[in-house]
Amino acid sequence: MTVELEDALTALAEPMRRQIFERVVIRPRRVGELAEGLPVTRPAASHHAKVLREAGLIRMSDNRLEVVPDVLPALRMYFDRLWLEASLGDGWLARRQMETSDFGL
Amino acid sequence: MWLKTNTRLSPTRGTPPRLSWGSEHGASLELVGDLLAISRAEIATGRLLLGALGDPLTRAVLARISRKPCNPATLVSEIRLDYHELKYKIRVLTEGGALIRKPHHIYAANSATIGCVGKYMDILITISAYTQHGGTDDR
Repeated sequence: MTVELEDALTALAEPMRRQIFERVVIRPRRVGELAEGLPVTRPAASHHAKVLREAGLIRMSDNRLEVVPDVLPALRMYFDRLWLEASLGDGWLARRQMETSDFGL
Repeated sequence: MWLKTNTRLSPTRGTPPRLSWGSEHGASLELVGDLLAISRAEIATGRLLLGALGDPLTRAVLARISRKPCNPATLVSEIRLDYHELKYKIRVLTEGGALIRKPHHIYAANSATIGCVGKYMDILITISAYTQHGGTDDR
């Protein structure tokens, strides 16, 4: 796993930070908008945004925070790989191969 | 904006969900989940596991067990971790649904739970793709 993904996963583990990240994914926002409707102060929301930026999850563009385009597919690939390994370890793929003869990997 | 519709999204009866892209946080994620046939329980599970994976050593434990189920004693010899700390990380992962305890103290990764994080990511990717292609006119 790359250092960037390590940082991203660490940053997303905090529930409020994850919530703020989701908001930015839904719509690019100004830093001042982040705390709206959330049980968090504006300075705290701003700090979470800073951590998300440092983790490479979001960036500033046109005075708004937006998600870094490649980061979500990279995270998806990380979990895909983990899922595949878990499936193999769990014997799921082996069982599936037995059930469907044309299932190849 | 095309998403601000009353289009029925799921076969559930009753009032169809209103899609409003710029609506309050949470609703949009779940409605896109409906479109992608991802349940709210799967979203919640994905978020929960993501929360548990903030610690690098916890991720290392899950990655190792995903590759091959094993017992804590084997893990201690492979990962530089105190036994009690390892047991705590295993407990966190087990409570998060990422690990399943099998006979003889063997722990295996739960692919269904791990898959939920992937599904959660799918929702974010779908929304992000829409947003990045000018889908939001309510800036």
